[in-house]
Amino acid sequence: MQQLIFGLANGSIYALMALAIGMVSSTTGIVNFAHASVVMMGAMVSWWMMVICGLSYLPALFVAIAVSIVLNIVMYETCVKKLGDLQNNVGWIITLFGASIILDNIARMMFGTEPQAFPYLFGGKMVTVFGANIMLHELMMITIAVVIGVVYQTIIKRTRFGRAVRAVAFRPSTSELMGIKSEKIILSCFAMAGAVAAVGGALIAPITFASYTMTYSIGLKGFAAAVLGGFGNTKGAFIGGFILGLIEAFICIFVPAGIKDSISFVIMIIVIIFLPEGIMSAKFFNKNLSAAEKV
Amino acid sequence: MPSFLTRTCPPRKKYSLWLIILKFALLCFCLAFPLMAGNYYLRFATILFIYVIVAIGYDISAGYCGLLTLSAAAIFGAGAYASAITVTTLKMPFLAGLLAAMVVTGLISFLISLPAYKVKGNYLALISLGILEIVQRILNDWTSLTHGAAGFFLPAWSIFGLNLSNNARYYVIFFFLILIMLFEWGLIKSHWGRDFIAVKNDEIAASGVGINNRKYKVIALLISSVIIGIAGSLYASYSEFISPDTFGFYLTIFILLTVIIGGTGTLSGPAIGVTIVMIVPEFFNASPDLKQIVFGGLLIVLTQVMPGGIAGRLKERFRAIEDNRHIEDLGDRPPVSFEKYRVNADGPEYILEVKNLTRRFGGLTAVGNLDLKVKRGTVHSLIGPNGAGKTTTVNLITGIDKPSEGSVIFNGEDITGMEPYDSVKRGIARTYQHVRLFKDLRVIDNVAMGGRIYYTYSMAGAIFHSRKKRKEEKEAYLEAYDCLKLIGLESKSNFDPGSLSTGQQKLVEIARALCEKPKLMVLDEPCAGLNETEIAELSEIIKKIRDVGITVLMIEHHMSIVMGISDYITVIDYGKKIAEGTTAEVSVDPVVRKAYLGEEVAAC
Amino acid sequence: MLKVENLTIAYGKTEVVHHVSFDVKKGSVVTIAGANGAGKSTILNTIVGLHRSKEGRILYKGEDITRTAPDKLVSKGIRLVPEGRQIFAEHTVEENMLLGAYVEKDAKKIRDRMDQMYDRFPRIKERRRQIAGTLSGGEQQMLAIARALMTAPDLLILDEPSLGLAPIIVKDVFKLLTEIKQTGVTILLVEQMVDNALSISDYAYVLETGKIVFSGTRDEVKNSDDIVKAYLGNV
Repeated sequence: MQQLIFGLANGSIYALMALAIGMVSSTTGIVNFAHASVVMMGAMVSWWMMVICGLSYLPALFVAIAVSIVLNIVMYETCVKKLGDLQNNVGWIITLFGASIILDNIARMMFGTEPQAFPYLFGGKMVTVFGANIMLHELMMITIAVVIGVVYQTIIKRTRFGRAVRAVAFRPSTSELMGIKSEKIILSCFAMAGAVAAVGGALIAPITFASYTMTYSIGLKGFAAAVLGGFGNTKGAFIGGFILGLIEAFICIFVPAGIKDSISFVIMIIVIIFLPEGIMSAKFFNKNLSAAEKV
Repeated sequence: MPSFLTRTCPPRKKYSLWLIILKFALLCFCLAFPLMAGNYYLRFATILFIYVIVAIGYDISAGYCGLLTLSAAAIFGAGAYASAITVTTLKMPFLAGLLAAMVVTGLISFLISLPAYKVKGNYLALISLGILEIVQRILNDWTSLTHGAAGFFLPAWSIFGLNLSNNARYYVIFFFLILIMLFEWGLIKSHWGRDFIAVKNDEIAASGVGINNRKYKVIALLISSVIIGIAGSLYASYSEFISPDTFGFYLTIFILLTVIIGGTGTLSGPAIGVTIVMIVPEFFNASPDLKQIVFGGLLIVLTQVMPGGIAGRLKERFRAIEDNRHIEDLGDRPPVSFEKYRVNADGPEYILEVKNLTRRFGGLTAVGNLDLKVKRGTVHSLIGPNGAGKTTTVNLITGIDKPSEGSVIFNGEDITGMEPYDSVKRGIARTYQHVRLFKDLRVIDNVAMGGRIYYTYSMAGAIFHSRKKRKEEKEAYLEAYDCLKLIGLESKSNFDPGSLSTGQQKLVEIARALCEKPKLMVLDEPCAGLNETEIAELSEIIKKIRDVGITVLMIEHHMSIVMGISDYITVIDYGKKIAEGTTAEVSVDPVVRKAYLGEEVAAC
Repeated sequence: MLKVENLTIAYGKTEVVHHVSFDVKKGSVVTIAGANGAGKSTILNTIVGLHRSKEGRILYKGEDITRTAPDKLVSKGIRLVPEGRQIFAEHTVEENMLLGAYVEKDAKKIRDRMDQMYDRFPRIKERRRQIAGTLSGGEQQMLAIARALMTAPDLLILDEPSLGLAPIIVKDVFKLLTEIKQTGVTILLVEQMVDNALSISDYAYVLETGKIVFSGTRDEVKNSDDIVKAYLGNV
């Protein structure tokens, strides 16, 4: 039970990261390789606000969200926008890695190299469910992630903005004909992805400690989750995230702790080789779904 | 690019002397360096050489073949550890370690290239990123094998029982560097190098000239990995201590940066890049963080501002001086005519028979039960309104797309579903609706790519510049030059295809197809984007091609050319054949007029 | 209503449209005819702001709109029904209609327009909850037109509305266009199937390799040799 909740809690963060990667990739077709760094920045900024500036949890989180949004917008303007045709010019892979390096090192300079303890929500209070000790924080992680996921799906499915996002994802030039400014929609997606990244970073930080190495220890797993769910498929992202979290939680029974972290990448590579559209594209899931169910 | 075609170019000749002097001076400097440098600089230079080897290796896959991977550091590390473990734990000599490094890195490259044939750039980047992480984990956590994070000590480096001094080590590594450079030079200046660039530029066109894209990607990654593995082995032996954090993400970024700064897909780029990236920070006493931030910024800025890197810039400049005009006048070359490409007429009367060809996309039938017979030695046009399924038909014939049903018989042989790189060897050449030239190759290289199916020299031959290679390359380029002459564009041989007009580019595509010495030439809208004069020229060329026995299957909308040069016409609409016959028959066929003009106008 | 002066358009270095001028009078239907590759779609895309012109001016209601962004043009009342319909295949039919009214912020207006459209297109109303990609070709074309009408445009531009449709459906489409014309909407039409297009047009231009080679009223064009030549060559 403890493992299950732990797995789901970690999985919920992977899901959030995959969701944010999916937001960007659905409208632009690119994979934001700097996303892991933005997650890390979200965690570091909220830690800094709380521990150094003495803000309480929520205001600190809001500052972190604001910073991450700005980061993502700047990133779009500097690294992506000018490259033109993103399908044929893969320069964005390089520029986004450049951005990732810059962020990591800024974090290292500003916040130091030591991993920092990050306060839990509810002061790390535990509850007992079915005889297992579970931290409230972990339950909150799952809840918040699910809420964000549901809210996002609702926005995407029900609102004018959401329709426009899907329209741009489907075909930017036709969207322009409707009077939609594709670029503005893409920018909004980058901004939303930044916000989600900050929340994910701040939620996972108490478990992993906040440090600039979060980019690699946590952030990269978001890509694995996104691959699992299929890029641009924001529902699949959640399934991918939770599956990844659970596999990780239970696999430690079989493999040494050190190897555990590489499991997600092994899974990712296997999925890319056999199901490049993500597990949701497997025939098993696809019996009744049309392509229209994506996004 | 064979020198005989550019030899008389005066500016290049003027500069080539300087280049030779420069190269020689550089060689002397490198050889004399240990005599004047202290230990610190000697070590610095040695490490620099090792990284140049890594960058060269990385550039072969990422720069030439366009396979942007992020696992260079992992492969470097794998090579280093494989070598270290062989030498230390297994107590084998250095050469065994080197071999082990090559084998291990070769195997890793297969893991990366396994999906490379079907996934796009971003997945390749992700897979390699995953491999980078997995290798890191293994180095850190498989302590019984790798000694973990504490690092791995090696015995002093000896070759054949001889312990190497610092100076000797420098020379050994310099020797390896020269070897690898010669290897790269031989490889890149052969059809292999051009094939890699072709795969990077346009996979469909590459397949159309006979390149099996998947095979070439696997080979490029293999060569690249093995070279990086050699560098890893040298690094481990040289530094006598290795630890996992040397081979992390930052090293990958460093390698990426060196190639970006120096120039991807250039011979001198990696060396220039490594030298700059290693030497410039020496002048600044900056903290490592700041250095990384600058590196990151450079990656962002250079990718957008200077995509060709420094070497690319230099190359452009030299070409600008050359003015692209200087091709040696091949005085004793006999005047060329289309006769050279005559195809003898034996074989079945109908060179191409398409039976019951069907292609469905989901519920939509793009081509349905199409029968088509193309008579040998004729110009056969395939016409029909927009969206009628003409290009789909041609794609099914040439193998770019696979039919749902039906068969394609070419010259008596069933070629249904055959890949384009195989069908081109049977004698089917084609051009494309939207020009597909290799933009990083010159016009003459592009045309010579058409003749690549006739190369027989091996990779070893390429590297050692065998006589066979030189002979075949020379012939291939003279052949390409002839093809260009036939279409009247020989003066553009040294140009980049992008600097030509659409009409000229279309002609170059035809020259490339001609260079394949085909039996059947498939032209997909050759007139699109051409002006009236160019169309007139083109129709003359197509007639000449037909007159030497090459069958032409043409899709075209421009009716005056269709009616002017076709022997037979097949009209399709909604994926079905609605009329067929000689030009005279079809032009008066009411069905055709109706399909194009509708009833009312057709009636008047 | 729309006046195009001396328009030259290039893709990279290649000029595909050379010094083309034409105008569209208010309330009329004008056809630009010509074989594939003549540059018709390029002209339309340039008018609605998806592509940049190299030279020349485009005037709409006397105002220069040469380099205006597509969303501004939609607000001004110019709508393009693109070639190949380009409906949003993964959205529902109703969402497609709503996207058509994207620039309109007034919810009541949108609802009214939608009701009007549903009255005119009962088939679309029936299928409004369906995913648009599952509609037949003819229905998709109707949807594309209805979607464009959601902002009550003054100038409706259609790029090959008959493309890929069975002849009987094409008839329906042109019948519909006649009805739209009667509501006072000006129509600019690009068509390969000239006779259908001419049957509803007041005026027509014939385009050949990026140049206008002939222009005239419906009957003049219909009886001219140029039109046959443009399509079938010199026979």
